[in-house]
Amino acid sequence: MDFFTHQDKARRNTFWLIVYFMITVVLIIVTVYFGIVLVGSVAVKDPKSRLDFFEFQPQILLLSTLFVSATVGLGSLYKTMQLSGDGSAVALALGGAQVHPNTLDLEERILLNVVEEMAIASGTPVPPVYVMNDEQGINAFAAGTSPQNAVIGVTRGCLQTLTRDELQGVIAHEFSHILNGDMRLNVRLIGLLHGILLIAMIGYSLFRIASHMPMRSSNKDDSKGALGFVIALFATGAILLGIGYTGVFFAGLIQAAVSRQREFLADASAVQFTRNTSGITGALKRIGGWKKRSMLKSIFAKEASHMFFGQGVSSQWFATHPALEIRIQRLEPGFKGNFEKTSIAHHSEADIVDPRTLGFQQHKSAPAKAPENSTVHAAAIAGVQHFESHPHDAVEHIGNPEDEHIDHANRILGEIPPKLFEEIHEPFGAMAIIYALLVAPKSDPTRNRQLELIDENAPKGLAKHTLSLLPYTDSLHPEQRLPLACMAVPALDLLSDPHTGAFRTLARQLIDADRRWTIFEFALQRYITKRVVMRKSEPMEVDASAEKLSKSFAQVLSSLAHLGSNVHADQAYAAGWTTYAQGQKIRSGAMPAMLERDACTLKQLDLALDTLAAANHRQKRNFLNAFSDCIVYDQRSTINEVELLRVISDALGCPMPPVLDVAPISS
Amino acid sequence: MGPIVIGLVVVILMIIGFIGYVISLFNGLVTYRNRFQNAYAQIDVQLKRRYDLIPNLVETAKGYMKHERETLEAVIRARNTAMAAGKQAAENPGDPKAIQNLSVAETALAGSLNRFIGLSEAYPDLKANQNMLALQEELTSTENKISFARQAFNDAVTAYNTAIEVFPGLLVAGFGNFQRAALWELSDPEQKEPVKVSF
Repeated sequence: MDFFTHQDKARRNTFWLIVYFMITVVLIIVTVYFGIVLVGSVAVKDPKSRLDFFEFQPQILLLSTLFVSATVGLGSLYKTMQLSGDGSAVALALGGAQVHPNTLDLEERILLNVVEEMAIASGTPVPPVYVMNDEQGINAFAAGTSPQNAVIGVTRGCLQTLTRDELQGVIAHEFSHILNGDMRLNVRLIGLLHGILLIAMIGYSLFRIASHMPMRSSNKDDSKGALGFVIALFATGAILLGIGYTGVFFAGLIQAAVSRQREFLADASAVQFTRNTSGITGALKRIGGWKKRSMLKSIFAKEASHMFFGQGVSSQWFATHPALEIRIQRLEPGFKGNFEKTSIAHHSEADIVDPRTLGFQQHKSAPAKAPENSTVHAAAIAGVQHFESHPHDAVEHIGNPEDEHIDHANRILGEIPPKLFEEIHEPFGAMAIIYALLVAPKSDPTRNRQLELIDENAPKGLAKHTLSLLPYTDSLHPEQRLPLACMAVPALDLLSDPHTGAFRTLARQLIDADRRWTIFEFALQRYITKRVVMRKSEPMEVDASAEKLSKSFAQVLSSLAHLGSNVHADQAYAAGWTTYAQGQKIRSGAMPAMLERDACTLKQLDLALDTLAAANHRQKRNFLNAFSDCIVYDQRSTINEVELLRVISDALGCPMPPVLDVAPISS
Repeated sequence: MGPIVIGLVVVILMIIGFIGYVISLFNGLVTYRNRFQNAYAQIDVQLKRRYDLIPNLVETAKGYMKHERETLEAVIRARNTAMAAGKQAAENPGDPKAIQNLSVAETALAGSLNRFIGLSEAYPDLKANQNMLALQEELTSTENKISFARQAFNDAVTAYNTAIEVFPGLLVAGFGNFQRAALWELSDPEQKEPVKVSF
């Protein structure tokens, strides 16, 4: 199974989940109905208003339906809204604190590097990382609704006990959740669970209120009615409490069943990503031998227990995770189930980077020196590097990075000048680097205009800082530029709202300075500014009707065709369309006309991508295959085209690992 | 049966609404608090870096500025005081007292650093020292970052303070133990001026 199948399966799971919950809710409604009728027929003394238990009471059924659906609906909606979108809401609710991207803590530094590696290897922006400092158990989670707004959290216990390899296994497991679409499912689960839990909570409140009510009243006639009211309140409270917890019981069973399957999948994927079974099994064994196991203290942990790496709340029936022994045995069949006592791991400076790629990192500690040669850059602008492999392979690797991708990511990280590497990890430097990356190369007349813009609009210190970083960014290989920009996300996330606004405005001005967008600007716009803004505002709804989809598809395909070649654009377009038609099983004769070159602006492309992102994953795969066939039509693919394919893929919510065969960075 | 049941349902619905509202208010305040605490972490990283830079700077200058021992010692002293204040503020960025102490200590440090740099201008050999130049450059850049991070911190604190002072938040803040946090203002405007050097 591949990325697209997993994504669709996660969606189908969500569908069944909702069906199960509907059934649970209907059962609850019926029980509430009988509960009220029972109270009405027993507790009410007044014969006139007493109910007959055996007679059907449509009014009461209506009332209980209204009550239950309103409670569950509102409760779920509230919780889902609270948690959806940005993953940081979940992380904060669980007691996490964001790790400062430039942290001085050795353990945190190692963690951030492992996350960065994995993000670049899988083609997602680097997620902000949270640490739950009060939690001593070994555990971790991923939250957010898409790779775009994901965050990763680990417990302090996790950092203290795991070696670098084991930590990498755990992080790979979490990335699998991100890449397999489990997080959206997780949020739905928490939401529905919360709605049902709310009934129990209300029952509990009623109970408390009734117990504080005065039993006697000065007015004698009144006192009888008041007593009846209190009794009714008590009884209703007790019944709601019972129903609520029964509902939670069933919901918990569903939660556990859905979750356990996804855990096996994530374990298997972690091995696939890292090609290192001992990492993840080692981490699981450490949990087994640790006195705190993977337990969590946070109150919210119960609702969110299915999101974690290991069992966070002790329970046999509701285990959201398969037993440790079984998880280990699936990966390492000879395991007998004896756990050694876990001790604190001792990290050293050498662990910060992956020991396997130490060779690449050596010059990292060399003194910073602004590189002068711009030949690499010139080649990049010309954008004529060939690469051998078929982009179809790249489509197949979506959501499935392998160890070569991790090595590649490590190499990219290692080749980034240490100065930039340091600056990208804090908000001030990250802003400066993004500005510097947006400045046109020396040969371009726009450069001066852009430098003026920075000088006028950025605060004084920031403008100066940007200028001092320019020599470094100018000499970057194009392959390094996007990964570097993607590393800025956690630091930019720390910007205050006014700063975010100012950053966005200036970045936009720099992009628009030459009245046209380059592919890099487009990519940056999609990856960074959109993302930084998106995290802090509501996602917008897009109209994704079949007609709109096919129009947008034609728009993107035409853009790619024009980008690839001037002469054969229409043939490249037709090649892409044929692939798409085959995938969708439609007649290729129905091909919409290719758009003119002038109609293919990046702004139009931007809008079209927002629409395509709403398609289902089977369709997305056909889109991406069509795009890559269009690109390879002329038998050569430039790094520009490949980068654009990756950006498109990312915009569709399908993170594509870097393409490995583009000429390596000269060293 | 009518009135009792309807009354009950109305009461219950009101309770649900109320509980939901209070919870969301409370969560909102927690988020604001977490934001400014995260914003403090930014300052903290830069402060620490500066505290590390200063001894190097003084060490480099020592060889040249033999007659300015007092100034050099004052710088180190101010740095140590500020570092202790910074440590306390990092433990609880919401404590107004800690932030105030840090602000005072930082202003004093900036003052003595200015004096030191002003004096160092008089030593041409020191001025030309590559190491000294690099350290000074680094110091300036770090100071820029601190002032930027301080602005972000102040923005976040202002948002939090407003949230606990306006009407609905006010009620929740009372029993949730949300206290006003202090802005980090530059306490003594005189000290912001560059120090005049007299010989």
